[in-house]
Amino acid sequence: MLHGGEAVCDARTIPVQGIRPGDHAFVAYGGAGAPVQWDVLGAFVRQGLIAGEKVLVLLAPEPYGDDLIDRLHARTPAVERAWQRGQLQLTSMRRLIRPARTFSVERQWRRLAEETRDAVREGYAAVRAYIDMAWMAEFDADLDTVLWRERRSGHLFDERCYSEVCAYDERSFPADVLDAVAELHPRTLLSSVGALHAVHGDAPARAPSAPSAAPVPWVRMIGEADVRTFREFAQALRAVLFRGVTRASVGVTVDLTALHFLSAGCAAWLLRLCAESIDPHAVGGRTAAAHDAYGVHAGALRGVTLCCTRHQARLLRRLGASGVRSLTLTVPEGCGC
Amino acid sequence: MLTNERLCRLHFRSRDLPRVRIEVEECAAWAGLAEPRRGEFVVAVDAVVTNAVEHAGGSGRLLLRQLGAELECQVEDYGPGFSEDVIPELAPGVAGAPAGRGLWLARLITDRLTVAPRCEGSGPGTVVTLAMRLPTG
Repeated sequence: MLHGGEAVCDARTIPVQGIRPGDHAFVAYGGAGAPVQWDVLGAFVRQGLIAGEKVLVLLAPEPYGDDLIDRLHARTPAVERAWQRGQLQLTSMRRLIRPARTFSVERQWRRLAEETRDAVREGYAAVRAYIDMAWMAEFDADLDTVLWRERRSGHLFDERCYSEVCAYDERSFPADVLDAVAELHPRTLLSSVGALHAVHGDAPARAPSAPSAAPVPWVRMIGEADVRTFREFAQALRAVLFRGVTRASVGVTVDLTALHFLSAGCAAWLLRLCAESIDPHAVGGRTAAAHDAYGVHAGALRGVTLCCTRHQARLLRRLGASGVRSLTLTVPEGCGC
Repeated sequence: MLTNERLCRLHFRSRDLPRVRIEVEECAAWAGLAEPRRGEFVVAVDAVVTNAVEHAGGSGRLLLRQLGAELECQVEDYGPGFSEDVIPELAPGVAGAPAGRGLWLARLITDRLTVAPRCEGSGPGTVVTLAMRLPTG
């Protein structure tokens, strides 16, 4: 569901940098939060090049290649070389399905499968495609066909050699259509690069010693935590810690695995707030006034679990995480980077 | 002009931080810096750039170069100037004062970090240079 120009975040929401082979994602642009698509597209392209994937950009109308590179602010040696050798290709739906003149789902699927097979044969790790759905107007394609396509295109992603972002201009599609389309995609992207969103929830308590304990509040951070988004980061942390305290739960969980970036400043502040919430003496027995400033009741929490990537765990340990009593770092399988 | 040695050059303000990170990560990958060192390099550069944005005039200039077997990033700010003395010698710890923590981490992560005044005649400001060795072979 779109809300104020931004898709409402849920467990499916990831930043564009989190796209991996096999992902099929929806993104909206043209709203207040993301008036243009170039930032998201730029990050999508560059992340693909870093991963050694072939990158297809399908726009409508198809701009000149130089225009695209300029709009992406991407005149770096890596992008220039990828452009010259064909690793980065600017194309369009019209060009993709040629020589067919009319759109058919089957033709599009066949061509995308061919592109993927050829690219993998050439040595690329995978193919990723960014498809601006403005092509629909060009072909006068009806919405039901596209919805049918989005619903049944799972086979394209089964082998995890292909990923796709379908970008919808909010000015061209009614809100209820965008809601329906977003639902059909396993992933939804944050509509701007550098944003941070938090999703709150509760998990059943699993402590054997406290079978009837209150649920464990958790928060999932999505996007980028840095000096620009510090306020949202801090607010979300305070909120989950406050819920943990007021519900007398066994602890709280902070899930950082959907963060593409965690800055040193945010990581340090996270540790300090956790330490204060668990044991104020660990941070020098701060005053009540200071506790109020953090917005949580200091020392009232029994433990905090930080669910993080290996990279984040290393950063947090360097900043002193192992010295915070009752703070647990867990790295789920598949969160190696 | 950007070359294989001069990988990226840009002016930045606070709003440019996400783009700075994207560009630094891409260029570091291009230069051959693999994970997990690449991600750490991005964290270090972000810490230095954030310092410029927050405490040293609000904007600056970044130059990323590949110099032999090293990836070097120079971050120039237009603030009042500071020296290496602001960087704590020891780990600040969870309860430690936040001042200089980002630069401390950047120095810990990278293979080389120096702080110097901008060139004479260019006005006030500081140049922080940080570098990481690239894998050989």
